[in-house]
Amino acid sequence: MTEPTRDGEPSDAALIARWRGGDERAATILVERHAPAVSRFVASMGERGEVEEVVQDTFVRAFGSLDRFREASSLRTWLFSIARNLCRDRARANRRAPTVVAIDDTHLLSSSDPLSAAVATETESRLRAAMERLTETQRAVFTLRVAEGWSYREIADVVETTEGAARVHYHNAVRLVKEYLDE
Amino acid sequence: MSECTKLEMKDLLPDLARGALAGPALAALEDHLATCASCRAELELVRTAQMVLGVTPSVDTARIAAAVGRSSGIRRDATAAVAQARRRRTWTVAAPRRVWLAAASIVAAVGVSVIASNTTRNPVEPGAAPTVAQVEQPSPPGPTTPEPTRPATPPSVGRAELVMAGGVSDLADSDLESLLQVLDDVDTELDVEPAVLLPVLEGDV
Repeated sequence: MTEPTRDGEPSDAALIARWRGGDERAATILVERHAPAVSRFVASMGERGEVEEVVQDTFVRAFGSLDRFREASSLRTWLFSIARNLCRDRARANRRAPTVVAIDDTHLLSSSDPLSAAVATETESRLRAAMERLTETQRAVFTLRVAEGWSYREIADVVETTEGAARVHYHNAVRLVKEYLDE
Repeated sequence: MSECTKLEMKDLLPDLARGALAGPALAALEDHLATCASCRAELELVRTAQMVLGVTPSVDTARIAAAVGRSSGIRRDATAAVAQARRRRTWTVAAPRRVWLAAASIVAAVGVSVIASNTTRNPVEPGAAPTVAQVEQPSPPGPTTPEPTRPATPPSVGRAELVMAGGVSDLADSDLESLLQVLDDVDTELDVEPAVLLPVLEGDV
């Protein structure tokens, strides 16, 4: 998986260079480009009610320390690393025990058929409950691999491990989720 | 249903579910799925997870971008303030440095001149105890006795190694280098950077 490329749009590196040159619009483009994926990741890590706050904090911190950003690495990977650290810090601060996340009315698996909707809600609820049983690293790896389609190499950069270890984390996470759903 | 052990096939399931698989890899996985119920079940799990986790929470990107702009603006202002403070520091340090160098040169020149002058006029006898200074004492009251006349001696260099009575330009090369070394040391000490003036710039990651 490579840096997101969009037809006719400047690369992340070009936008960073423009922002360093004082172009505030470049920051806006980068936020619009990466905020949705970062917010999905933050939500999957358990921050359901304070997603926007965490995402905003992620970007503020990222741009605040952009001087230390290595051009060789991916901005997306770097953003997700910051977001992950923020989620971990908040989890520690809140000392939250694993809980089943409440599902709001806007979940994707809703259906016009009441029976299907109920089944879908149950499926979603159980899946999220299963993910709550994973370790923080397993949850991050599972989310990045399944929901975002990242390579093990990119995932390893975010969770600060090796590519092989990221692969092991992924398969362990899948096994644990399946075991929970089969109970 | 037994668990499939072909991890290289399982690795590809998220890519298949996203429609990001093509070519020989896609064909190989489809052949495997035709005979592996475990991987078919896992593919369903992956697809469900993609739907659940693929929901994008509603976030106000404009508000986030504005927060980034505010933060970067504050940071740039702070950076400019630090740069300005450093320029001021450069001037306030540089000016006393020049004064200091001039004063040090004068003191060194005067000191060397005094030492050279005393050594020349009052040569210390071999074996005599070292004295800090030789001060001419007034004569005690009473009958005065004629002071033995000292044979006139021509001005000589004596034992003084430094012979000068003028300024720094009269110093020998080696002494001049020593003096410059001392001044360089002083200069180095003055180049030490001051503590960061605005702590907000530190550790804000």
